[in-house]
Amino acid sequence: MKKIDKKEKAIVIIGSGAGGGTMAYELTKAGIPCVCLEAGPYLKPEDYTNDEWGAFGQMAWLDKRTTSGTWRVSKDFPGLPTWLVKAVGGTTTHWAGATPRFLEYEFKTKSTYGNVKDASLMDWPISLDDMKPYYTKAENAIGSTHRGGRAPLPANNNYKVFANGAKNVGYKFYATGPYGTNAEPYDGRPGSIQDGFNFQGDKNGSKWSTAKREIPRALETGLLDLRTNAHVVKITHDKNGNVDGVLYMDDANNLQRQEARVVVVSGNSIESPRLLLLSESNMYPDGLANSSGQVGRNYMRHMTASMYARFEKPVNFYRGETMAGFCADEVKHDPNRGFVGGFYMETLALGPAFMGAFLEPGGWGKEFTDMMDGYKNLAGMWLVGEDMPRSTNRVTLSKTEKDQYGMPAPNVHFDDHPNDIAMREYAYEKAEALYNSVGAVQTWRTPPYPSTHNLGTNRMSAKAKDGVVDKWGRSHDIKNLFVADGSVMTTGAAANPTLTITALAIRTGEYLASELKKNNI
Amino acid sequence: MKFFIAAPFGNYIRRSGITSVMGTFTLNQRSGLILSLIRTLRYSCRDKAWYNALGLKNPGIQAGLRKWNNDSRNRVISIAAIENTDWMHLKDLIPSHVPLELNISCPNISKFNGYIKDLHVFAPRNPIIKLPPQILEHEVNELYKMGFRKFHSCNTLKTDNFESMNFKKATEYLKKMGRTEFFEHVRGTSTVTLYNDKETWDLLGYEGYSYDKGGYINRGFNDLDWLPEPRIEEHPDLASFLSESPKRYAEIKKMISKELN
Repeated sequence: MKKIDKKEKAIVIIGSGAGGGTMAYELTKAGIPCVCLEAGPYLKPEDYTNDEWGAFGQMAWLDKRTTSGTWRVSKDFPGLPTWLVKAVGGTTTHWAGATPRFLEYEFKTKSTYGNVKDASLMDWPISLDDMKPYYTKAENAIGSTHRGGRAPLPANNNYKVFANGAKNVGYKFYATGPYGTNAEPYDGRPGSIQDGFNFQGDKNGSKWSTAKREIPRALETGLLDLRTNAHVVKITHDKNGNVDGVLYMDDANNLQRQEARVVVVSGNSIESPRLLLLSESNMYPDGLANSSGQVGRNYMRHMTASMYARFEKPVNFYRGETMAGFCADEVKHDPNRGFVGGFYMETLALGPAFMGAFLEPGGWGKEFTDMMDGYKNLAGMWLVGEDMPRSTNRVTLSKTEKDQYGMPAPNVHFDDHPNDIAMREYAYEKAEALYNSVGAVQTWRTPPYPSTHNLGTNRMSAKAKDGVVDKWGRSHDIKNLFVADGSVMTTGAAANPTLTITALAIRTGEYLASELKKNNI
Repeated sequence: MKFFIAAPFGNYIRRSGITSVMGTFTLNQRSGLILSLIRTLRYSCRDKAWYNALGLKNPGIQAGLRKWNNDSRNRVISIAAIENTDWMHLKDLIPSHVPLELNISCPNISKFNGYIKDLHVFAPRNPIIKLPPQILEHEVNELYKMGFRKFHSCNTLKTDNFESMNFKKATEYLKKMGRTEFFEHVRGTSTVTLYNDKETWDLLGYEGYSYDKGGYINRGFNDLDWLPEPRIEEHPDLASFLSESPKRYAEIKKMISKELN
C-alpha cells in the first residue's frame, strides 16, 4: 500500500463509505494519490456474521450521541439517533440495496411544491439531466438489477406477498428492484445465494459496497494510503483561510497530523457537520464553511415507517434478499392525498432478535407476542418517503456530553413536520390495505428505527448565503474543502439515498480530479 | 467476587466466605400492630415477591448492635429510617466501624427525595444502599453524587396478588406500572434475551445463520405456494410514469377518475 508522508500536502478524504470510498477510487483512478482516513476497522466478508446483535456490536457507529425533539427515536433510542456503520465501506457495508433515482421534480421541490409552512424547501443547483450520466455510472458500479441489461432478482417469499397485495389494490409499478445485489455474476461479484443478511454485511460478496469494490480497486492503483481506526477530530487552516491539514486520533490513540492540499469530508450527515463545527477557529468562529450558518441545519432522515403483517400460512420472510421488493405507485407528488412529495414501499424482513426490539419499541403484551409467536407467518415492508427540510432540525455540538476523545458529542434534534406525519399515516393505511387484500390476520404499524437515511446538514445551494457547498460539492467559503456524502443533499426526495450519494461523489470526484490536473487548486 | 446473604435471611444463615446481612433494624423498638404480626415479612409464592412494610415489629437498632457485638461481628447491619430525621440519630448511635447497609427499599416511601435527604451523613462509611425496584435513574445518580458506591438491588415490591389475577387483570396491573425505569429495564432485557436466544428461534421457526449452509437459494427462499407467482420485472409504463411532471400526472389521474365515473 502507498505510504504518503504526513508532512506531504496530500489529498485527504475523511471517510470511506458511499461518498468517501467513491471519491478515493475516482481520484486514484485518475492518477491522483490520496490519503483516506477511516474511523473504523477494515472488516472483510470473513469477519461479517449472520447474527443481528453480533453484527450490530461489530460494526455500528456507537460513539456518544444525544437526541432532542419530538421524533419518537429520541424517546425510544435517545443515545442512538442513527444506525450507521463505522468500518471501511461505511454504511454501504450494511445498506439494504434499493437504488431508485431521484425524479426530475425532486431536484426542484421549492418550485414544484410551493411554500410549505415551517419547511426550508429549496431547489437544487443541479437537475436530473445533470445527474443522468452519473446515475448510469453509479448504477453500473453498484450493478443495480433491472438496469443496464442486468437481470432482476427472483421473487422471494416476502416479495410474493407484497407483489400480490400490490396487484390486488391496483398498483402497477412493483418489481424486485432496482437493487444493488447481483442476481447473476457481475463485475467480479457472484450472484446472490439469498442468504438474507445484507444488514449484517454480505458474506457472499454479491452486494455492492465500497469495501468490496471501490476501496480494493483504489488500493490496486497503488495510489491510496488507507489508514483505518483513524478518527479525525479537527481540520486546520492557514492564515489565508484555506484548509491545510487534519488532526486525527490513530489506532493507538495518538494524535496525528496530516498536511493537506485538499480535504474531502465524507463522514455522513452527522459526523461531517460535526467535524466542520469542531474545526472552529478565530478566523471561523462558527466552524468551517459556515458563513451561511447552514452547517448542521436541514437534517433530514426520510419519512419512515414499517408495516408488518401476520398471515395464516407460512411466509418465512427472512429467507432471501432483504429489500428485493419495490413499489413506486405512491411516489408521485399528489397534494390531493393531503401532503407534498411521495413515498416508496419496499420489502423488509428482520430476524426475531431485531423484530423483538424494533417491532414496537417498549412493546409487550398479548398483541405483541401474537406477532412474535407468528414470526414464520410474517411479511413486512418499509415505507420511505420525502421528509421536509427544516432549518431547526439540526446537528449541533453538545454542551455537556463528550465522546471517547473528549470532543463534544453531536446532538441530533428532529421534530416531525406535519407533512411527514400526514404522509406516514397515509402510508400506513395503504400498506394495511395491501396486506389485508392478501388475507392478513394482524397488522402492525411499526414506528421509525434509528435513522439509516441521514441527509442534509451541509446542503448544496446555488448561492453561498443559502447553503454550505456549491453544485460540485465544493465549500462556498473555502476553495480546497469539499463534502461528498448525504449531507450535501439540498432536499431528500423519496428515493433511498445511496445511489444518489454515489452518483454525486463520482461527479465531485471527476470535477476535483480535473481541477487538480489543471492546477486550479 | 464477594457474596452476601440479604436480610432477613442473613439473620439466620451463615456460610464461610459469605457475608450475611442482619436486620433490617429501625431506630426505635417497634411493638408492631396486631395486623402486622400476622402479616410478618415472608415470601409469597403467589406474588413471586417479598412482602414487606415498615411498621412491622422491630427490635430496634440497640438490640441489633447488642447482637452484632455478641456474636455477629462479621455481619453487615441493615438499618432503615421511619422518619427522615432517624438517619441522624442512627448515625450517632452506630459506631463508625460497624459495616452498614442502608435500606431505602421500603415500598411505602412516598416522598423519596425527602427521605434520602440526610443520607449523605453515612457516605464516609461507604455502606451498601439497598434500592427499591422502582428506583429511577436520577435518584440513583443523586445517591452516587452523595458518594455512595455500593448498591443492592432488591426485589421487594409492595404487590397485589399478581399470580391470582387473570390475564386481563394482570395486564392492566402491569400497564399501571407504566414505562418506569425498573419496568423498562426488565422488559427491555428480557425481550432482547428472549428473542436473541437460539432455542426461541427454533420455537419460532427461524433458521438463523444461513451463509455456511449456502444461503436459502436451495432451501426455500421462494417456497411460498399459497399465492400466485408475481411478476418480477418492472411494468413497461414505469419510466413514463416516473418522468411525468406532477402537473401532467394530476391531469391524467383526473381523466382516469372521470372515465371511471
